[in-house]
Amino acid sequence: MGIMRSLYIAIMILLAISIVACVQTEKPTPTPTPAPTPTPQKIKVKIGVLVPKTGKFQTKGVVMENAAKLAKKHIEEKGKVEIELEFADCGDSAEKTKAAFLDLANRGVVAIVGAYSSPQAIAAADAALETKTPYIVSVASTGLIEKKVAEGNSYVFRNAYNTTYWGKLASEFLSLSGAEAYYFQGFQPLSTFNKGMLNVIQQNTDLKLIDEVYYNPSVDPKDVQNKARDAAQKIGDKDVLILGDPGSLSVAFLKAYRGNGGKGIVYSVGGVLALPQTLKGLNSTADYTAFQAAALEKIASTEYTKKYFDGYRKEYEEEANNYAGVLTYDAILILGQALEKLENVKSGDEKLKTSLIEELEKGEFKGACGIYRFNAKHQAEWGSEKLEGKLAEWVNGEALVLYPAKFAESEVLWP
Amino acid sequence: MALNFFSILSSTIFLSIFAIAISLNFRISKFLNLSHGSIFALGAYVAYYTIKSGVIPGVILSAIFAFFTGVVLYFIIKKIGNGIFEATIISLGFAIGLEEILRIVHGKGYYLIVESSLTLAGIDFWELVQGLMLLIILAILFLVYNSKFGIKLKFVEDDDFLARIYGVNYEKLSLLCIALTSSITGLLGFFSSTSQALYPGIGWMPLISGILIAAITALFRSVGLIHYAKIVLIAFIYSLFISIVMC
Amino acid sequence: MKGKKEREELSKVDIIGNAIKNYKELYRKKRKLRLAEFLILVVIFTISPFVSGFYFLWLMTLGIIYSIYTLAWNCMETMIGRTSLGHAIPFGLAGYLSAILYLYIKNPLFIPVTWMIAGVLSAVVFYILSLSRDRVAFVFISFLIGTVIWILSPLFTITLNGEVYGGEEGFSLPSNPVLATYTFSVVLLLATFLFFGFLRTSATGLKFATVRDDEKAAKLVGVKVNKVKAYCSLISCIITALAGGLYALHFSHVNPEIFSIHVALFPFIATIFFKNDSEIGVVAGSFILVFASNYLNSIFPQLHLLLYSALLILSPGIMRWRDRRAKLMSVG
Repeated sequence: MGIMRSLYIAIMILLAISIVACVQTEKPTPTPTPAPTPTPQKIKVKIGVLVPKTGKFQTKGVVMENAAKLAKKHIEEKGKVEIELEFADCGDSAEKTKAAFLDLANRGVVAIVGAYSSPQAIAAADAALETKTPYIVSVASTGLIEKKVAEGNSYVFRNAYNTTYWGKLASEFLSLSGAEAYYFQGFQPLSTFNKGMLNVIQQNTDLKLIDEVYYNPSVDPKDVQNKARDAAQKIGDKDVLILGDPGSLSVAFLKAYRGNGGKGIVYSVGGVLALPQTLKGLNSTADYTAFQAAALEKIASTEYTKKYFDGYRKEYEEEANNYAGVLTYDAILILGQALEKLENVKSGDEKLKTSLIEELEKGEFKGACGIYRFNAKHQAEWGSEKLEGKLAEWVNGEALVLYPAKFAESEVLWP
Repeated sequence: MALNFFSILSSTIFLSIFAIAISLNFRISKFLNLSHGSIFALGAYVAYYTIKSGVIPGVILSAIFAFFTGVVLYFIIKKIGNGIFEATIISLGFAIGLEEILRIVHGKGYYLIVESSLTLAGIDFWELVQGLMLLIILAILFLVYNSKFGIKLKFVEDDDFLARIYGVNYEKLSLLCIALTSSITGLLGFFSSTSQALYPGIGWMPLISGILIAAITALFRSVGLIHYAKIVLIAFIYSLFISIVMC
Repeated sequence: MKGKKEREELSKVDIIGNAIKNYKELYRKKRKLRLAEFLILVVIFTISPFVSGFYFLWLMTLGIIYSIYTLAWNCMETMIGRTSLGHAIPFGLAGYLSAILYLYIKNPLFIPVTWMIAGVLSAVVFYILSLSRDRVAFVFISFLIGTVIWILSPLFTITLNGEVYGGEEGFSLPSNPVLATYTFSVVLLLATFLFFGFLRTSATGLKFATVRDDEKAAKLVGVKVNKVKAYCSLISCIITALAGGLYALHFSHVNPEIFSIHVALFPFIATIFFKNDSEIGVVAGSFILVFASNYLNSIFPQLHLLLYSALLILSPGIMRWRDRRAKLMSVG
């Protein structure tokens, strides 16, 4: 009886695994190449998108998915490439991300974009090498991505900023503002990112650092508000508080900071406090909050900038996201443009991925943020003339552009 | 190194309320209710939808929603669970489910913000409300534990099996306890909603801190009101310690 | 003619003798069963690399690693009656220590040493916790310690040559072919499977079981309860640490999520459907959870966690149904 039960269980396992294996190992049949016609051949490809549909980054996942769909629509308007987007939930862990990446690669995608946090991007980069699938990191900033490229992983690219550029933008703001000193408020769970950024700021500015403080609500749920209260007592009229938390707690910090009479300007690294929806919701609390963004509606870096912001608003009836969303949009555009440039390569061709990588390495691509080129470490060349981060300041319900200089609407305004 | 007394007081009040809810639940209903974090988030979401129409209706609605969530949890545990460990696991499943429902219903591309900037004598109104809430809870506990009903409570805390034998309606008490402690955390979520951007997982960190405070206080094996007074003291020491360490 | 008393004595001896014979026979059968199960697993794991693609092999490896983890966790639950909600500690600590060592000494050969260290350190903690007879307190304290470590792990950084490592980004490990990790994991799983299968049917296993059933009674019959707890903690934590180390190698990276509550709860949920004293059931449960979780995640991402929550809520009911069924089958 016992042996029968064990055999039954073992056969069940085998059966279950076989069913899943059959489903999972099912490879799509290559799209048949159309017969030669006078009109140019349309290349049909699948592009995978890793979005956090569950977990703590789910809010960002919504904008990333929407932006990806919008990008598909805009690429297909040109008529040269037909894209089928395959979405997979990368959750908020590296394990889920890697499984999602492998699942997408198994579905026959030609390239993958997305993932949110640095650990997720690292896991995806490794999976890119293992499956030989080109991958574009569209949000995470970790320096490990460039390290992996330097160590021989030629499959991963990044169109988002790296940590160094985050620091350079903050330094640029300090320089523009004419501040007397600055205060660095970091977020402990992102300390690696924050410390990297602060190192760059310290290298690029001579201003006095009043203090370097980190909040961590895991040890005390009121820590954010408490740190805001402390900061309000230390910062003067002509000082800048650099807020290194791109997440939702930055709102709690800003509210508590201004509520306790906090002076000076708050410079946010972006994320939640760079969204018009959030800033409007905060009313006067948001005044004199400066932020960086990869794209701003007022700065028409390329024809895609207006298309993105208008298209998103029309399609989804809310304001477009100006970092995670727009960079995911651009990542799909980059792939679409790279695919358009490929000659004599058909859908389902084994050489397609290799050709795509070669094109990404040497080509120039238009996105809503600007014109992308990738350097030797497959990092988009942010800070070049054609691709720059944007700085703005929220005053009286409006975002005033401060940088790049050619688009500046105003100088930095002090309260 | 300057310590901000108000910050320490604010943390003490918040942690005390959460820890009292967890502790009451544990000592009377005899399980660690891990759904308090999600109920806290539920209270905050109720605030988002109701606060502009009126604070008092919003508060009442938040308390009612949280109360009935607690009632649902009680009946699930009664039906399926048996013992402290099973009830705790059920509450964890309940917490994850509640959080996911909030996530599915409110899945937007931006965080929800409850805007209500009221101050009284330069202090944030909602911080004062939390302080008042703690005083009310302690006052109620004082009155209850000094009454005849309080003797039953102490009996149940000590040995619920024996209390049942001596005629204490344990089931009713347990139901009331779960529902009322859920109301407490739901209300706390409502009052805390203006200080942060909302997302379904906002309750997990307060839950962990609350459990830590309650667990440390439990080591002293006090009974009745003294236990809850010690919770406030431990919360104060904890906040002070964190302030010193984080400075 | 033998007296009545003598006849009674003899019949008692017969009863005891028969009982011993029956137990020996039962355990012999159980060992044969374990061997049969072991051979089935060998066949499945030998065939798998040849019939599957990369993704499937990667998932199989993950399933195997989690099976080892769950088997080790199960050891504490079924042998000394301690349910741990903190087994993510040895699991994660092994990954972290090996990554940190690799950061300084770029030689992967020393990595297994760190796994053993992680196992021993965790075993000390669990042993101390298990000394108290309050089993419920063990659950909650292990849960609290695990959660605190999860919360504090992102704060841990190392600065080397001006670069900051760790924190929320975690640490990297050497990448290795999935087939290599698969092979090591299979070997470890089979060894663990055999070990626990034979331990359970040995005299030592019986001693462990007496501690689980009643510590006071076990002490009275001469079982060194604290020694048993120490052995069990050591075995469980070392094997968990080995699984954690393989997990870190499987991803070539380790970050604070390795200490998360989901990792801590995995063995508990994996053992819901099958009886705990069946190693094959534990392996099956782990595989079902890994595959179902990944499969559901790709088709119903929003609902996957709702299903998880439903499983947790229904788990006591499922376990009681499972135990009733097992009893009926053994009577039948």
